[in-house]
Amino acid sequence: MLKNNPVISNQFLIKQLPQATAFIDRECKVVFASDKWVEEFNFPPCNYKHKKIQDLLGWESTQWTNSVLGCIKGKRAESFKERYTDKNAGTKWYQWEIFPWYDEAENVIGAIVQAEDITQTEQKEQQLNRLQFILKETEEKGKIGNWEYHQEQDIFTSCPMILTLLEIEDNTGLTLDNYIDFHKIGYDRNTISMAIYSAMEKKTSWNEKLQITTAKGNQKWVNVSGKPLYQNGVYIGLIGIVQDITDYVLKEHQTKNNEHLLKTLINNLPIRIYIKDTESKKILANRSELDHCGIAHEADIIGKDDFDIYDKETAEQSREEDLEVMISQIPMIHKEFSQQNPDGTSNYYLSSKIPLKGTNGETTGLVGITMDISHIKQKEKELKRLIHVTSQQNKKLVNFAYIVSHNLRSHSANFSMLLDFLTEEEDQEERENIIRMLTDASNNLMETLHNLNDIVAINTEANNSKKEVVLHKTLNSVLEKLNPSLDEHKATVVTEIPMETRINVIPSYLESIITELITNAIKYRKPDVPPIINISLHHVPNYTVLRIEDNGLGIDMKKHSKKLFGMYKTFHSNTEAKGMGLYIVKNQIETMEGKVNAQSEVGVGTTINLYFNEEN
Amino acid sequence: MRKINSIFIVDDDPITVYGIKKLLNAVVDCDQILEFPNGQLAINHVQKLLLENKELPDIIFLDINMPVMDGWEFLEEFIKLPASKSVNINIVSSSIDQNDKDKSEEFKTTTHHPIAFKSKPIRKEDIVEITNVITT
Repeated sequence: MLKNNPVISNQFLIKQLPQATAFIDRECKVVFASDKWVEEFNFPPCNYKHKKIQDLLGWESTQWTNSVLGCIKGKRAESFKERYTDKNAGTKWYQWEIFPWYDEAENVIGAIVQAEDITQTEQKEQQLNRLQFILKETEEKGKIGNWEYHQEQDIFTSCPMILTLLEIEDNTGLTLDNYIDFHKIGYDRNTISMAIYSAMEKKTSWNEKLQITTAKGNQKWVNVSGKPLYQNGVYIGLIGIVQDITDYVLKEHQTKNNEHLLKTLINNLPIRIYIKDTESKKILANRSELDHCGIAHEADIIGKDDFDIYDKETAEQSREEDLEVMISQIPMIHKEFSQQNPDGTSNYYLSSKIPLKGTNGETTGLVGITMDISHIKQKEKELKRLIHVTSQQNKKLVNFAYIVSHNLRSHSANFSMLLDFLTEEEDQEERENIIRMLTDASNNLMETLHNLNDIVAINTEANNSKKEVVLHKTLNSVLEKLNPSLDEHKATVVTEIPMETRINVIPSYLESIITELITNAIKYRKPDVPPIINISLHHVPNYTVLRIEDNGLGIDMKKHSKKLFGMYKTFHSNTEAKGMGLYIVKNQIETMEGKVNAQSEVGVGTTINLYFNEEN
Repeated sequence: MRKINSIFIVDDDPITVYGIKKLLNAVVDCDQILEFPNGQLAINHVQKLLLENKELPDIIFLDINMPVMDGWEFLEEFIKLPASKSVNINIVSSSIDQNDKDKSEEFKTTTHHPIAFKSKPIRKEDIVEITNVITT
């Protein structure tokens, strides 16, 4: 038998080999192949013999070829795995076994090539590798550890991540009880104990957020979950997953705290705060805003716009502002506006609108802040009124001080002059004359002091001494007292005062004013005309007006209107005139927060209007 | 004794009028001293003098606070009158108010009549000074 002409005996045995097997000669030509091989590598069934195996496979690799050539030289190759690519079957993995082929004389006549399809195993292995990789990554990145407990053997095993989580060096001696003890005493430890007990007894699973104290004493938040473990349908123990969620929980707590703080803050601010989206629909409103809109719950305002809350005009104006702020992205700061309340009063507000921008700088809505400044406005008004009153009083005081100094000085000047004369005068008669004048001067001074005293008394009269009086009654009592004088000058008084009219006054002032004005009407009558005095009542906003009209001499108002009510101003060459009457009238009516004015025409008569304040 | 033709005293206070007259009589010889209790009567007389083409007074003593027409109103009317003669006007007041002094200064600038402001009481020296201007 020729050395290089191998012959296969027992061909039928080889044909039926369960493994894909090919016999090749020293030239790598196929001598024989098992049916499995033919099928596996898709060899032409009849005429594959004496063809080169590489050509038939349509594939070769360096390792494969080297192994085959090695075997032909009598050197057996190690079994190896290699990927095989076939035009039809695609990629497959084979475990290759290549042996030298000996004849009876131990001569190498070729090689025996065996292939085992390990594609599935390989794929599973790869899958497993991938899964292990994912698990490892997930454990590390997600700080997730796992443990297993085999109840029968009482064995507790854990992955390295568990050690990291618990901050312990090694897990030798770590038992299920040890593990449970890492949980914080109290709620946390009770919860995990109950869960594990329940899992053992009732085969339930668990999932809890708990706190542990590590071996180094650090507090950590963990998510623990687990379930019973089965093998072939038989319960054998437990498997548990532990995830460190400390960072997440702390962040969540922080976020919650911040949110709570912010909510508390904005809800307790005495200013209205809201957030609107680009369509001016509210997406947030604080307590003040809700109260203002008369809405109980924030949820009921969300999605509503100003048209749902305010009248059309207000809503339109507001929307216009919103648009301007959102389009220009320029905040509107402290715009003052007022709103009328149903009861007719007005509230004043300062409104600010600040655009909200998204991450790309686009407008996403606006924050609105509205402050009620009605009370400030009210104070401002009050203050203005007080300033007015004060400045009026100040003017009056300056005037009064001027009058006092002027009058007292004029008397003292007279004393001084007369005394100078007296010391130098030798003539007895003239001395007596001077002394008489000194007496007059002294009397004048007394009278002046008396007048000034009256004025001071009026200005210091307390406001609370005001009383409601029936005007008609007061008037009648004054007229009764003046009756002799009225009769004497044949004066007629016509009164048109409603019986029921009541005014709030200081009664003695009212009497004094009416007396003074009627007396004046008689005093400054026309010499040959009997006086007629008309007294009537009128109303203007805030005031009841008492009008006293005469047909007397009248006063040239062009010349005298400014000083008519001044002190020591007299307008007729009448020795009775002291220039005090109208000044006192003016002071008295102003003390009662009223006012007085006059119209007059020479030769026609004078009309005095007394304004009594209705507010008080 | 120096001689002055005519002097007006416009004042409603008889004591002041008495005083000025007494001092004048001691200092100068005056033909005519006329008294007016308010500005209106004084201005009426001045107008009458002008109408009759008679000479205006050399000196006027003028009070401020008077009934009917006060001193300021008199001044306003007086300086409007077509008087060629310069009349020495002495405002005699018990006022020490700067406003009154300022007001008299203002009047000074609007007229050729010399205007002076004197505080009461009027002393003999004041009368001497005032009358000196006329007689020299």
